[in-house]
Amino acid sequence: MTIKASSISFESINIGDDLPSIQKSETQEDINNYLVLNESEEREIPSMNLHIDEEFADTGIFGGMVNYGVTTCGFMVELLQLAFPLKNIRQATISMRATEPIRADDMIQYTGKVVGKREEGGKNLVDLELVGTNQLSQTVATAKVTIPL
Amino acid sequence: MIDADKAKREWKIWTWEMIEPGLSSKPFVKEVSHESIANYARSVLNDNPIYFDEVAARNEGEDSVVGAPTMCFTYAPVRRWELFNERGYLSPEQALEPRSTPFAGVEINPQEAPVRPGDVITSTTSIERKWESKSGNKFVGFRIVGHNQNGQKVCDYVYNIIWEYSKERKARTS
Repeated sequence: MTIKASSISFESINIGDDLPSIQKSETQEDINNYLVLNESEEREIPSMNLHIDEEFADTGIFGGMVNYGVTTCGFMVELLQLAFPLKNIRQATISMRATEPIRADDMIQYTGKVVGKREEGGKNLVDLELVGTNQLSQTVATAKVTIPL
Repeated sequence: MIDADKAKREWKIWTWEMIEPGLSSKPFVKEVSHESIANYARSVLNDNPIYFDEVAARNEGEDSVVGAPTMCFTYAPVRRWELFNERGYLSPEQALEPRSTPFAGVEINPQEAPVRPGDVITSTTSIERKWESKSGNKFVGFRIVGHNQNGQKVCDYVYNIIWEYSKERKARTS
């Protein structure tokens, strides 16, 4: 079963249930806009940035520019919002790992599954695993989430 | 005010050996606005109206538009370079021969309260831990905790970076 935020309840969730999936692709302009839109602080001592400085990124460990990992985390939380109310997500613990670089124009599919359901300390908790997979079928990000309901 | 050119020439680069859990930065203060909430949502390609429209937010049970949970990365940014700069050192990305220390992952803890327009967030960054993987890669976790003007904790996360690879990572070629 695919769970939805509009009809979620602890009782209705079962281990093995899926979250709705989403697809995300960022252009290089989208990646550049992260800094612009968020009015990032000017650093007193400038630093190189492997998201927007092509020459620097080419010499780095990823061999080219990559997206912001925090944006990937944002996509995973957007996925959570399709399945759970925002007030519950604010109470969640989220442990996310970047496993492969994400480039501009990669197409990433984010999916999630319920892997546990328990009562602990008077709270109803749901355990989830989220995965981001690129167009080459590589896992680019994973997350373990525990959310109270 | 730091003379950036002089610092780049004369300051040393912070090293792995100098990374000590508990070291913290000066507090950082940032005010949240309707515009910054909307712009953050745009920056992560999220068009959920709860971030743009008061009525939509109230229909979802919120008092007003609220910041997305991951907006913490902008109102309480990591600012790891400041930990080093405050002590007269450069981060590896700031060196004359720079190298990256990329994002490896993040652990986000529960919020005591949502972030709303008008909130003033004060955050600090500290070194939470450092560790080495079996393969010899070196990692550092920075903990960022932010409170609003009422003393409520609005963000608490650990931002993990790869400080140094044990060997050159093979780049994806396609």
